[in-house]
Amino acid sequence: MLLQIHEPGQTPPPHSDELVLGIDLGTTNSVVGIVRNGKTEIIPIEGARLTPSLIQGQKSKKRLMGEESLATEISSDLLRHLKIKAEEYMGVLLTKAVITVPAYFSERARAATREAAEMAGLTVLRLLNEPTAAAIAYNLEQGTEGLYLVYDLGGGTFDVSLLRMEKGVFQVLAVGGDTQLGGDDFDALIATHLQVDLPTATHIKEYLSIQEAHEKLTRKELETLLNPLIDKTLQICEATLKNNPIEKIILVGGSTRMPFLQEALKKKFQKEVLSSLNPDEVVALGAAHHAHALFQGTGKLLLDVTPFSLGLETLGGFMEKMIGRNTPLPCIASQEFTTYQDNQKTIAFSVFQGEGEQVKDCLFLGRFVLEGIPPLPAGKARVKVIFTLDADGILSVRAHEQVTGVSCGIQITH
Amino acid sequence: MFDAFEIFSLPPSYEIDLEKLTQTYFDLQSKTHPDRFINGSPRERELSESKGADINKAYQLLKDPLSRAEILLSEFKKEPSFESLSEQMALREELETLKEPIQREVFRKKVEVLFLTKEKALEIFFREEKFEEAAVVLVDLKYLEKLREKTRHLEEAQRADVKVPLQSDKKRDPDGACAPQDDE
Repeated sequence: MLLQIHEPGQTPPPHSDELVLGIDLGTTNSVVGIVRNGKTEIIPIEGARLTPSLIQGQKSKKRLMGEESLATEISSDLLRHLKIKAEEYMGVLLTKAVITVPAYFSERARAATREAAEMAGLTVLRLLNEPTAAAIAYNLEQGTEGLYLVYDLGGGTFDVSLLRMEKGVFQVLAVGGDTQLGGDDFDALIATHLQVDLPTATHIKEYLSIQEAHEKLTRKELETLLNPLIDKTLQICEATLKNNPIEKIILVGGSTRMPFLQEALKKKFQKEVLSSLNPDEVVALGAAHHAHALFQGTGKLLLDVTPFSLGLETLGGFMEKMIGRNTPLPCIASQEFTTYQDNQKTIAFSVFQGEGEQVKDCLFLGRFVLEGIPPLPAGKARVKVIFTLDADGILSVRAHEQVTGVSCGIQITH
Repeated sequence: MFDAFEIFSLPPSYEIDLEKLTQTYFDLQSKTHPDRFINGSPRERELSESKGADINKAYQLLKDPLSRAEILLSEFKKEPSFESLSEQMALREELETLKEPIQREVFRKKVEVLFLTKEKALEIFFREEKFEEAAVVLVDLKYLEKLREKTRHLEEAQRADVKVPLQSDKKRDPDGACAPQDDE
């Protein structure tokens, strides 16, 4: 046996009374949770349970820069702010955290988040997918067991996860989503339709979750207006679910408060929806619980998957998939490649993520060049490429030439 | 050498109890998963990442009947016969002529039935230890699996209203070895 290590739980944590954070780092709002004296609670940051992730002015920049830049440029400052304010509230130093990310977050965005946390002085115990965190919170609260669908409509992203909860085990079977669809898009649609500014649109949307009609818009009209977007989320659910018989649907994210959204879900899947935990806080609560359990060595076994296929560009611009989507983490995959010209000395490897058959339909992640291949006829060199995806879902790629043993590689960063 | 059956302490066999396999999988990961070594040394964490990956890979290979069969039949590699090649080509051509969602639905069901029939045959050949015959059926099954995937992909794309090009499989050689672009 390769591994000679203690039974889990036998290695006591270095400071078992140390407190660790669970941070829901959202695109719109962020929430901090903690387990203290056996209770999971939300830490108010400057008195507020929700902290806006972007200050005004940054908001318009968000869509322009894309998720990766958002994660690095802003996340580090935000995380530092959350850490310091949480420390002031708790009166102790807080240096470790589980941080949640959208399940459908790209490789680069994950790497950027982990890096931003380190820059902010936080050791990341684990990057946890938001729907998985929510499922942990519900399991804790209500003892949910069986197959569940988590529907997570946040401010900026939409995630769906199919997961099985059993005694001691959480197994994610499939994830899907859209990182460019969220409550903010609903607001934008309302704003355009009514010719009002965004804060007013948000207010009207939230008002209509409680009341039937607003002076400018009725709930029915809002439903008609938002229906195409909601329909899109339902289609993503269906593709992720693939006829699996689920027990119930767990609702996460502020946008799931809209009554007609809940009705649409019930109608489509003929299942009850779970919404008893605050949809804005449920992710942070799950993250806090998981952080505590991980650190104490008492956590449930959590088996998550990678949301996208990962691969290399091959001759003709095709995507050679090395790791398929929904593969359990951690994961190592290898394959041999060869040269296509006589005496070819170098091979350039371009790494992509996505489901397209051609790399032009995939997302570029990084590129490296293997040099020093011995002169051989085309097709004779043997270069082994290894993709390693760790438990946080972060990818590194290495290539080894089998004759001379030369090797090189990269870790995907933002 | 990576041996999926050995990782699960199972004798190499096509017949497998899936419930038990999954339970063993959870037991193995409970001891190995990187989450168990959050406070471990860097070396312990590195080992748990690689061992955890091996267990994941073995589980994925064993739970899928085709990849399980492929491990067991590695000494009986077969090229597709003339008949199965013509059958494959006919199916592929049929898929390319289908326009309406309902036609694709019918086609998908037809492929599904073909797949299940051949899967049953595979099971019987294994039981009777006719490995040569099993290897022949496996080649067909692998093709049907791809076709099934392709049909599903087309149906999904149609729902999402996106165009997906049909031809693409030609570029790879059978071993999957391909030549990435040269940098010079």
